[in-house]
Amino acid sequence: MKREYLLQKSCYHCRPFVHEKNRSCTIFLFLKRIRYDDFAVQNRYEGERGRNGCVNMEIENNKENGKEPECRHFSVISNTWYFTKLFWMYEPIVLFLCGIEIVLAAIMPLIGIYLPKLTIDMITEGVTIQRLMGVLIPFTIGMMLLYGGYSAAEYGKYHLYNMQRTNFMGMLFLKSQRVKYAYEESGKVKNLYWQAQNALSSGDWSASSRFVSDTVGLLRNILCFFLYSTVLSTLNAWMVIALIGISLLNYLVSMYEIRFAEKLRQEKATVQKRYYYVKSVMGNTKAAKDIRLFHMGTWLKSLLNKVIDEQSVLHRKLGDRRTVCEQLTYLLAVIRDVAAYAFLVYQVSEGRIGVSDFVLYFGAVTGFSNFVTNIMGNIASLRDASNMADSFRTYMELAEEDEESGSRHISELSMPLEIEFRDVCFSYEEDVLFDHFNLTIHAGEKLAIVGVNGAGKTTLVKLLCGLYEPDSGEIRINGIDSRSFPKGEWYQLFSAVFQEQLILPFTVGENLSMDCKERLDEKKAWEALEKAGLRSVFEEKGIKMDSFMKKSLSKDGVELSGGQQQRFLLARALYKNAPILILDEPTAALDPIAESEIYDCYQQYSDGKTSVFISHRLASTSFSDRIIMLEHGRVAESGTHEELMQSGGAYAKMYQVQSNYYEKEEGCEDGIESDGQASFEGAY
Amino acid sequence: MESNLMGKLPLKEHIKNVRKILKVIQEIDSTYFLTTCVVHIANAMIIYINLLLSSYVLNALSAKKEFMTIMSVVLASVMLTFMLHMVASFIWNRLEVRSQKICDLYHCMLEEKMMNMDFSRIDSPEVKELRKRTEQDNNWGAGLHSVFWYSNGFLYSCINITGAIVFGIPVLQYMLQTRSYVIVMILLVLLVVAFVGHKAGAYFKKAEEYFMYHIPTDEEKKEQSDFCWPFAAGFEFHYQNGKDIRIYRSYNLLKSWTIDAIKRKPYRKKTIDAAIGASGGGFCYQAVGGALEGGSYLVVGILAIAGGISVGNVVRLAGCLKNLLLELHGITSNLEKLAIAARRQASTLEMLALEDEMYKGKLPVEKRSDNEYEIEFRDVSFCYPGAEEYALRHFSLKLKIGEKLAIVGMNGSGKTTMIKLLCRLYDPQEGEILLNGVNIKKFKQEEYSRLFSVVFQDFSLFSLMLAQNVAVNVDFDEGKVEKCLEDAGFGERLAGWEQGLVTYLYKDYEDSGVEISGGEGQKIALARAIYKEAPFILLDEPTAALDPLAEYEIYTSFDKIAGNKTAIYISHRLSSCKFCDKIAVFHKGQLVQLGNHDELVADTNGKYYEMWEAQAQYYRKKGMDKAFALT
Repeated sequence: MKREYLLQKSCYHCRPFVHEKNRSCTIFLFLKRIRYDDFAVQNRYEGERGRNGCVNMEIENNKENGKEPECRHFSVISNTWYFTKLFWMYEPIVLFLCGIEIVLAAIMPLIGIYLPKLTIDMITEGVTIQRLMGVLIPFTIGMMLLYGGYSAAEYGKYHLYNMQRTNFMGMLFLKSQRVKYAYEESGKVKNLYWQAQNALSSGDWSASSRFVSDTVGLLRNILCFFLYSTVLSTLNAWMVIALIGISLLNYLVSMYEIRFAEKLRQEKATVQKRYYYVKSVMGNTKAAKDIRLFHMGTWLKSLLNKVIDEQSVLHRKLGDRRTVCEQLTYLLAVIRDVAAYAFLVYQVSEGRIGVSDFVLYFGAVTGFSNFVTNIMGNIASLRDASNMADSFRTYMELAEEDEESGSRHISELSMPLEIEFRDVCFSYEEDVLFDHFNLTIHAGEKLAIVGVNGAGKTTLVKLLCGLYEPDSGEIRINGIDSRSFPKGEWYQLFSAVFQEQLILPFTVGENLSMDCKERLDEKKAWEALEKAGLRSVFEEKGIKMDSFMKKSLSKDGVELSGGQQQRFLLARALYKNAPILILDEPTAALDPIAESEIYDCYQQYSDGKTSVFISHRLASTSFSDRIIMLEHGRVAESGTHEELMQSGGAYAKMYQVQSNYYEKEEGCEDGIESDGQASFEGAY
Repeated sequence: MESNLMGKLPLKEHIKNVRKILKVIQEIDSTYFLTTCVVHIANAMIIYINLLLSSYVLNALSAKKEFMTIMSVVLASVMLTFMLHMVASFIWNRLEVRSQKICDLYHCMLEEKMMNMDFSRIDSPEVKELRKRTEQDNNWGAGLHSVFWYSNGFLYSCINITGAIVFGIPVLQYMLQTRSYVIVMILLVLLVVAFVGHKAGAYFKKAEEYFMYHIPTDEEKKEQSDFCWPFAAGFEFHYQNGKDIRIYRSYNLLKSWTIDAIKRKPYRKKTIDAAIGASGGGFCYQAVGGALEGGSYLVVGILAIAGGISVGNVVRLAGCLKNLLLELHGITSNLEKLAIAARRQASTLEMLALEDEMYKGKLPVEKRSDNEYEIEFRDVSFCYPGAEEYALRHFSLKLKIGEKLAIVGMNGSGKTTMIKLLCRLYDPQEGEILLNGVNIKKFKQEEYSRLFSVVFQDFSLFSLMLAQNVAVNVDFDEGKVEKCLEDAGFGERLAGWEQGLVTYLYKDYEDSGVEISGGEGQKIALARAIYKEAPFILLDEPTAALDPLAEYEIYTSFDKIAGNKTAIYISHRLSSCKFCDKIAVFHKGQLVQLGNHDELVADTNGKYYEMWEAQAQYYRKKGMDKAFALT
C-alpha cells in the first residue's frame, strides 16, 4: 500500500529533504502498524480462546437470523464526516492541527520550486550581495518556520489522535455493555464487534488513524493540484489541460494497481491470519507441554515455512504488479518531461519567459502528476478505512437497552420471591431451546437444575436474569410480568455467580461492590468477606479494600487460589445481597475438600432466599429442596432426590453413574458406613 | 524503573548492537544489502542526471543554442533516467519481498526459540524477564523493519553525498577562490542552526521517548492506566463476563477505568506532553532542513554574484550543496534511529542466544516390543524455578509394567508436577528418576519422551487439520487416525463431517473450519495420545469440564485403550480410582499414602479418607435414602 519507499520517487527536481521527511514520516506511521497487527491477532487468540489452552469452546452459529442487526454500509464521505464529528467532540485540537498541516503542506512544494527562481532572478538582475542576503535570509527564516510548522502539526497530532483511538475503543467496549446481552453472544453481532475492534486496533492502519492521515493527505493533494494549476495556467492554459490529460492516464495506472491489490486483499488477509496463527501457536506457553511431548516442532515449523512462502508468493505478485505500474508511470513521465522541456525551451528561446521562469514552471510540471497519483492513493486508502469503519459505526449506533421504563417497581415486591416461567418459548439462532416451557420456583425454595451439557440449564438462568428475552410467554415474579419492571431494577433482584469467573484488575473493594470506590460500603464489604470465610485470610495477608487484584496495576496484586476465588465471588454476591441467588457450576475445578467447603458456604447463605443451583456434580443436590432434570429444554423430571431416584428416570441413571463407586463402599465396609453416617449427620 | 531503551549507552555498545542485528540479516539473506546498494546508486544517479540536465538546458538557453541540439540532450538524458528508473523499480519491488520474508522469518525466531528451549526455562524468572523486555522493547517501532529502513536510509545518504561531492566540487573551488567572509559566516550560522536544532529536537523528543519507553511504577500505573484496549480486545475481559456487568450494575465502574480514565488529568498530561515533545522535535528537525535548503541557495547566490557562476551552474551547485548538507543531516539522524532500532532488538537476540541448561543425554532408549519399562522415582525433590516452596519433597515411587496408578490429592499437592518430572519437562533438584535402572537424564530427550502419551488437563489442539492434530505431523496414516478417533469415541461425530479427516478445527486458520465442543476436543486429544502408541499413558484430569455421562464414557473407553500399558491417572474425582491397581495420595508435595482403595479408605486418619468422605457424604446420604426407599 503506502509502503513504497520514497527513494523510488526521488524525482526530477531534487528536493531530497522532502523525501527524507516523507520517508521518515511514512516510516513513522508504519512503525506502529506491525506491532499492533501482531498484537491484535495474538491477542484474539489469548483473549477469546478462554481458559483451555488453544481451544475455543463455543459453538459458533452463523445461521441467518432476521432479528439481528446487519452491518450497515456508509459512504466514504459519510464515514469521514462521522469521524470528524467524533474528533470535534473529543479532541478538537486534532482537527485544528490537521487544518494547519493541510495549508502548510500545500504551500511547501511551491516554496521549494520558487526558491531557485527567486535566486536566479536576482543573479540575472545583478543585485548586490547585501540585497541578495536581504531577500534570501528572511525567505530562509520563513522556510524554517513553514517546514517546522508543518512538521510540528503533523507529529503533534499523532499521539492525540491515538489517544482518541483508545478512547473510541473504550467507547466500543462500553457500548457492548449497554446493548442487549444477547447481542454479545450472537454470532453476527459478536462478529460485528470483533470487526469493529479490529478496525480500531490495527495501529496506524486502523480506521480512525487513516481517516485522519488520509483525509489530510487528500485535502492537501487536492489543494496542491489547484495551486499548481493556477501557477501553470499563468503560463499557458493548454499546458494545464495536457497535464490533466496525463494525470488521467496516471489515474488509470493507479487504478490498475489498486484494483489488483483489492482483488488480492482477501487472499492476503487469509495468509496473514494463518501466519499469525501458526506463529502464535509456536510461542504459546500453554501449548508448550504438548508441543514437546508430541514433538510438534517439525510439524509446526513446516507449516510456518509453507505459510511464509505463500506470503512471499503473494507479495511478489503484488510487487510485480507495482513494478509494472511504476514503469508505466515513468513512461508517462518521459512523455511529460520531454514535452515540457520542448515547450519551455521553445518559450524561452522565443523570449516569452525568462530563464528563471523555466525553472519554476518545470518544477511545477513535474510535481503536478504526483498529486494525482497521491490523490488516488488517498482515496483508495480512505475507502478501505471506510469499509473497516462501517462495523464500528453500525455497532456504535445499535440500540441500547432501555433500563429505565417500566410501570412497576421492585420495591413493591414482598420477600422471598416466587418465580414462574409461563409458556416461555425461546430459540437461539433457529434452534428451539424452549418450547412452551413452564416452571414455578416457590418462594424461598432451593432449586437444583441438572442435565447433560447442552440441555439448556445456562440458558434458563440467562432468561431468568433478563439477559435473554423470551420469544413469547412470560417470566413472573410474585405474579408480576418481568416486562413491567424497568430492566435496571430487574437486574437488581439477582446475585449470581457464573461459570466464567470475573475478577477485574481493580481494587478488592471495587471487585466486591462492582462499583466505583467512592460508593463502597467498607463495613458491609468486610462482613461479606467474613461470611464467605475469607476475612481471616485477607487480614492475615494484609489485603485491604484498596489493594489491587491481579497483576496489571500492581506487582504485588492479590492472586487467589481456585477455592478462594470461588469464595470471593460468593462474597460479591453476599455484598449485593439480592433476593435471588443463582449459582452456575461453581466447583468444576476444585479439589474434593475445597468443593465441599464451598457447598457448605452456599448452603448457609441461601437461607431465606430463593436460589437456583446448577451443577454437574450431583452431590450438590443434597441441599436442595427440589431438583429438576432438564432435557432438551423441558423439565424431564422434577421432585426431591428420593422421588427422582424412585421414578428411575434419567436422573437416577445419571446419579448412578456418578455415585456408583461411593455407594459400593458402604456395602462392604461396615465401619466406614457408620462413620459416613456420622459425618452426614454432622453436616446437617 | 527505566526501560533499557532510555539510558545512555556508550558508542561501542551501539556499534555492537547494530553489527549483531545486521549479522542476523546477513545470515538469513546474505546479498540483501549489496542489492539495495544497486537501487540506491541508480536513484542517486537519477537525481544528478536531472540536476546536470537542468543546468545544461539553462546554460544552453543562455548561450542561445539550437532548439534541436538542446532537445537531443534532453531526450538522451530522459531516456537514461527512464532506464535507471526501470531497473531500480524492478529490483526494489523484489527486494521488498525479500525484506518482508526476512522479517517474517526473524520475527518467528523468538517463537521458535520458545518452542524449542527447555520446558523448564519457559517459566523461569530469567526467561520471563527477558520476554517481558523483548515485549517492552518492541512496544513501539516496527521490529526488524525499522532496521531495514534506517540501514537503507543510511546507505542512500552515503551514496547521495558521494554524488553531491563529485558534482559539487566547483562550489568548494569557488568558495576557496572568493574567500568571502560572508560565506564563512553563513556556513557557520548554518552549522550552529543545525547543532542547536538537533539538540533542541533531542530535548523535545525526550518527552516523547519518556511517554513511549518509560515503564511506569505501580503508583503511576494506577493513575495513568486505562483499560480500553485490554477490555475491548478481550485481554482482561471475556465477552461472557458481560453477564456480571449487567447483573451487578457495573457499567460505571468500567467507565471509570476506561473512557473516564483517559479524561483524567495525569493521563491527559502524559499524552499531551508526548504530543508537545513530538511536535517540538518535528519542528526543530524540519526547521533545520529549511535553513539548510535556503542557506545553500544563499551561498551559491553569493558566489554567483561574486564569481560569475552561470545561471545553469547555480541550479546545479545549489542542488549539490543542498544535497550535501541535507544528507549529512540525514546520515546522523538515520544512524541515530538505526542505533535505537538495533537496541530494540538486543533483548530479542539475547533471548535467541540463550543456551539450554538441562543435561542432554546421548543414550538411545531401547525399543522393546514387550514394553518392559520400569520407572522409579528415588528420593526426588523438586522446586519450581523462582518458587520458594518445594512442589515435591523426598518423593519415591516405583511404577511397574502394566500397572494402573491413580494419583489423588488436593490442588497444589504436586500431582501434575510429578507427571512433568516423569516426562522430563523438568529435572529434579535432588534425587533421580530411573528408567530400567538408568537415570533418565542419560537418555536422548527426544527418544525418551516418545515413551509417553499424555493428555494434560489444559491440553491444546490447534486450528489445523483434524488428522494432522491427531498424527501431529503434516503426513498421516489415514486408517490409523480414523481408528484412533473411533477408539476415543469420536467416530460418530467424524462420520457427520463432509470433509472427514481433512476437516479443519476452529476457524483461526481456515475459514471453513468446524467448531467443536470441549468434550469433543478432549476426545481428539485422547485420540492423539492413542496414535502415539507410547508404552506409558498419562492422563492429567481430562474430564473436569464434562457432565457425568460424558465423564463416564471417557473413563470406560480409556480403560479399554490403556490395555496392558502402564497408565497414570490424576483426578479430583476419587471415583476414577476404581480402575486402578494402586492409588497414590499426594499431600503437600509428598507421597503420604499408597495402596488400593480398600486399604486407603480403611485408614480413617489418612488424607485419602478425608477426601473420600468430602465427596462421598452426599452420595452416601442419597444411597442411604435409596436403601430406605427400596425397603
